[in-house]
Amino acid sequence: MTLVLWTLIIAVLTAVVCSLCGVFLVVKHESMIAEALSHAVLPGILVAFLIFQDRTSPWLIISAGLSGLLMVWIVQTIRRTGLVDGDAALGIVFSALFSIGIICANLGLNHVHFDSHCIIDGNLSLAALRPFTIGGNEIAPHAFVVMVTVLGLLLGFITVFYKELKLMMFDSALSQTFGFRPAMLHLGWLGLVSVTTVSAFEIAGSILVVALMIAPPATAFLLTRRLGVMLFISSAIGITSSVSGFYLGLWLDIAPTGPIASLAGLIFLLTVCFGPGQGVLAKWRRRNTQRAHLFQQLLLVRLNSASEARVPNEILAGAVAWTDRQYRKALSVCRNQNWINESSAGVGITDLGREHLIDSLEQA
Amino acid sequence: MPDSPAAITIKGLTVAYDSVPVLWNVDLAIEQGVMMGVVGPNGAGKSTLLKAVLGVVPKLAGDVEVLGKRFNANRQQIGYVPQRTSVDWDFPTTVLDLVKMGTYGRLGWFRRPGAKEKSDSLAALDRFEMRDFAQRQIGELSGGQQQRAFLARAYVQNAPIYFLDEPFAAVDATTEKAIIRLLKDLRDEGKTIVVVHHDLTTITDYFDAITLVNKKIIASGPIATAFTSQLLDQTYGGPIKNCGIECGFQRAPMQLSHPTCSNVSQSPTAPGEVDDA
Repeated sequence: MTLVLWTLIIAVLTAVVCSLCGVFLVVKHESMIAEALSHAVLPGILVAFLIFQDRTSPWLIISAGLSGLLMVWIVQTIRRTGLVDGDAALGIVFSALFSIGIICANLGLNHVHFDSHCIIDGNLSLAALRPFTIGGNEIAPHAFVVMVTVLGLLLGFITVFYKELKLMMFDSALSQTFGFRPAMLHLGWLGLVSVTTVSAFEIAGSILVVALMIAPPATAFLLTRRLGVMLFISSAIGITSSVSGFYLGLWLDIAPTGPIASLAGLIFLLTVCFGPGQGVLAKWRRRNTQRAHLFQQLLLVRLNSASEARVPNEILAGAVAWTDRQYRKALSVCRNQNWINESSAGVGITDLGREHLIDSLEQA
Repeated sequence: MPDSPAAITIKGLTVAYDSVPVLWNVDLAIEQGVMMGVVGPNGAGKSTLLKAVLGVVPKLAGDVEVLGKRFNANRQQIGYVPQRTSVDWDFPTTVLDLVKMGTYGRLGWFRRPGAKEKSDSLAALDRFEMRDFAQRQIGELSGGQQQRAFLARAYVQNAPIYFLDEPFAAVDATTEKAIIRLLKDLRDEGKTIVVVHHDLTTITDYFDAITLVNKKIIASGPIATAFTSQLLDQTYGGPIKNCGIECGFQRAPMQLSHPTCSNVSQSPTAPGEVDDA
């Protein structure tokens, strides 16, 4: 298999892993956790690196996961004091942990190549270069093996604990009452999110990880109101943005991470604008239709209650709509439906118009 | 039923947030088959009382028995309808899925709800006239429908005891009456209903028994003995004057002006008015 193809596969795997993870973060209103974890894992990575002196050791990922959990624990402790709430506590803790990581890296690791630049940007283009070997044979790129493992863990966890996760996220009180230990489950889940984050950001960089964890699930949230369906839509959007972003990167001859993140954002934007039901355009259309109906009804009400048989246009226009255009449109719809008849003296209502008015008022 | 145990027995329950006790040395027994209102000022620990029984907030001290057994052995026996404001109505779940959650307890770890759970849930939705809304997302329901959906969830749990935390907050008067009707039906089937309630004017219409709470239990028992103006004064920490219960609590204007009653949802002076806040 070619290097390009491997890189693409790794990008797609990373996107799927992040999009799946993110669904639960978005529905629990914990999106910022993704951003915080991607920074707070740094001290964990450094500690494991100092102990094992090996950048590829799986202990780095485990230690990073623990570092993430440490952050979650500190945040919860701070929140419990009631002095600082919600996102503020998160902001304080993750930036502090990240800074500690940076200081350690600057003090202790000057002699080794530990590229903090890589933590932000990732290096998808190079991810496929490092091989994973068993008994001297190169099986597949190291990053591929890592991402497949993480995907397996994630799918396994979600499949086994789907019911419990859902209940914990929606109604942790009932979950507690039933004895499902929501606090433990939440911690376990966030541990897995930490592991996912740290595995993914070595490949994709923290910005892309956050983009892929939030944009596809947020898009899916606009398109469905079912958790199970959300998982599929989110993954599909993750795959679409990673494949198209990858080729866009190739075509522009730039690193693919930027285009992938931008496309994930673009898909979200398009869904916000043009999505069915909740989309801006759909809402705008709905409101316009409702308003047009209102003006037609107002027109008929005014004509119906008029003492004279004909109401002059200039009086009617002032009574039923906000602009001249709206008035003329309402007039033309009513004319086409034969609800009104017109003459030089003005406008009058027909029997058909009266019937329609009575019907529509009854419906309302 | 002299031999049957009390629905809920609480002994020496103390709950604290940080170091501030919210409930102090509470002893309480709730008989089976009653409809009980839990009343007290804001911050008196009414919701905390329910949550402590359910094990949702940690107990500092005390024991809770449900139908004569420790709570851990009888945890499926209480169906809980949370405060509407504490529910995430945007959560991606349908009404049917919500009701199915009531079956999770008896399924235990790992087992998924199947055909049996689905038909049970649909039957529960029928019971509360919510079948037509089964596939709606929960946020698309009206206030009354939301309460009925949660009642269906408690019902499918087969719980003999129902806890409702302020079910009438921000629902209109008609809806409130409809929900009370449903609760009284459940009570007539032998269920025990415990409701955190705010509106003192409706106590005598709605409940058989009442528990007055303010950090501790001021009184608990049938309306006739526990719902007296003297005990209410004690509970609300001040005089609720001119409200002689027997001559009609409804006419007591004090209730609105009293600082602890600021969120009474229905004005006693305008009974027909609908609060659509």
